[in-house]
Amino acid sequence: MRLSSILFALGVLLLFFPILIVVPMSFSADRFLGFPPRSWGLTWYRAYFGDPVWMAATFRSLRIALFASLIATIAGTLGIVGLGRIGPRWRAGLTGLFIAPAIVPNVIIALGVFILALSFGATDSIVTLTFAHAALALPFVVMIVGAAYRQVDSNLERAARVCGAGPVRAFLTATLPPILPAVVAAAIFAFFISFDELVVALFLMGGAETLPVRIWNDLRFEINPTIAAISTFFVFVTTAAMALAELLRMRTIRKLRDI
Amino acid sequence: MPTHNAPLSFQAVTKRYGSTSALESFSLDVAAGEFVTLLGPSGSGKTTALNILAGFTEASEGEVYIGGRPVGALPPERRNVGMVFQNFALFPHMSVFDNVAFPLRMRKVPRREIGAKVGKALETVHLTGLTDRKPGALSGGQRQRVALARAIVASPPVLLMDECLSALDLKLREELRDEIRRIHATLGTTVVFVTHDQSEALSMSDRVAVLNEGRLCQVDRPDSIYDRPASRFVADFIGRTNILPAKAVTDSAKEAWASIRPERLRPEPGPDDIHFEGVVEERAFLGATIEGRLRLGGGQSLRFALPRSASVPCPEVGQTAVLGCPPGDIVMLDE
Repeated sequence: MRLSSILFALGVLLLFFPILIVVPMSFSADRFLGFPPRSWGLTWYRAYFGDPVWMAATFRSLRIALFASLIATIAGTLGIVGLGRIGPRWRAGLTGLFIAPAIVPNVIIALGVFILALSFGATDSIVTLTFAHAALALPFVVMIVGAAYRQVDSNLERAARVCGAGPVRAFLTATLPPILPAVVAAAIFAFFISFDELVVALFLMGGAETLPVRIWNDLRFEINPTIAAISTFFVFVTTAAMALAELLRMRTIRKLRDI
Repeated sequence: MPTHNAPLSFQAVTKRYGSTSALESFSLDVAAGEFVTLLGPSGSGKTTALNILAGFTEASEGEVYIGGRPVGALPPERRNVGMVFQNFALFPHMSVFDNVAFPLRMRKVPRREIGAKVGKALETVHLTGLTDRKPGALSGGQRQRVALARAIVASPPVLLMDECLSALDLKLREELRDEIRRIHATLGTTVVFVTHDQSEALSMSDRVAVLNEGRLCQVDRPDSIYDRPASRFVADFIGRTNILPAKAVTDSAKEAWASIRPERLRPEPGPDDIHFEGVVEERAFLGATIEGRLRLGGGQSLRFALPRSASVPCPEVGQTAVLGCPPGDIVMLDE
């Protein structure tokens, strides 16, 4: 084997290492988290799905992620369309602003959102957290949808207008359909940005825990294999969804290039 | 499709971007049913003029009229024009049929009439049997035919074409050139055609409007534009020509130029012709003609294109030759 192949294999192993450890641990029947497990079973999956506190946190996270993704996708897509219609100087500035949440450290954003929420008395609110997550997901929507939008011939919308369609109709018939797969992909990415997010949620949520906050709090007091079961479950869910999103994204780009 | 068309008119239309103007006080009247080409190099303002006519760009000053009505305040969807774009601009997710039917659906044409009208339009552009295909599965020529069908299907009185042949290769371009002429003759629609290709402009149009740097240089029939260019720019841009410095007889202080087309020069000029004597600098045999350059005494070089004839041998490189043309073939230009 060549040196480069060995390095590549090592790199992949390093990336997959946590998963390789966590998956077997989740099927342990031991009382404490340990590797390798001494006995096997589905005890901890039962513990997760049977515990109302874990379930409440999971559904809270799913709900927040759903709305955050919806807000980020709509705002990001409309933002991209808007950016295409303004002067280049404004475009550069606003693009920077849209991308900023991906560059600024999450702790700083969390602190900023927390201080802002305090002054409005809106801490400990699912709504505040949803919007904060939408802001965090916005850069990804802007980047994914933006890449597809730039491939769309700008004459398409003009053609629709000349054919008799009003501006909204022209957008819906000419511009949106070709980029729709990318928009769906962006929505999936945005969903998981929110679903995985811990730091902002820690700052904002006192009583009602999201799933990552619940995991965090659980880890602080005892280490039991429920976390391994949850992780394994969501590794598979996330992998499937992300693979779908990536597939959609690639297909849009390829299809738009062909035309 | 019923023949109907409308006149259109630009009146002192100016478009400024910041301090630069893309179009400067542009006025042009196009008669109903006329085929007029806006010809110019890139940045000449021809596309700006078309975009203002279509409603994509707002004029800074002046007004555009279609069928006698001012349309400056109307959005593109209410101007009732058809348009063919440079890169086709077909909706990629719609079939050929749906693409062509789109303008009819937007105009709320009853469903039962749509099928017949789409069929008629596709027939007009000689494209049938591909109605279920997506644009991605068509060749460039077929895509442009679909784009043409979509532009004419709702029988708009005015048809706009923006560099619509330049994305095609030479053979297809010539084929579609004839096709567009034929469609224009059949439908009688007013056509405004934008191109940077002078051979397209000369071969297709009733009249050609030459633009440069945002200004209209000359509007005339193709042959008049070629024979009587109004300025140095037009003489140089349309076809090939020799521009020689000259002096105006009326005012010798004023700068002037003489334009002589290479194919107007002939060997063994008569006594009434203007004579040019020089040394043959280069010479190329092109079958029907022999082309080359003559270095004149004043240092200028003169391009010639002589018909090949057995009776009059063409001078060899390095030889002295006398070429000439009737004074009427020389166009005097003062700008």
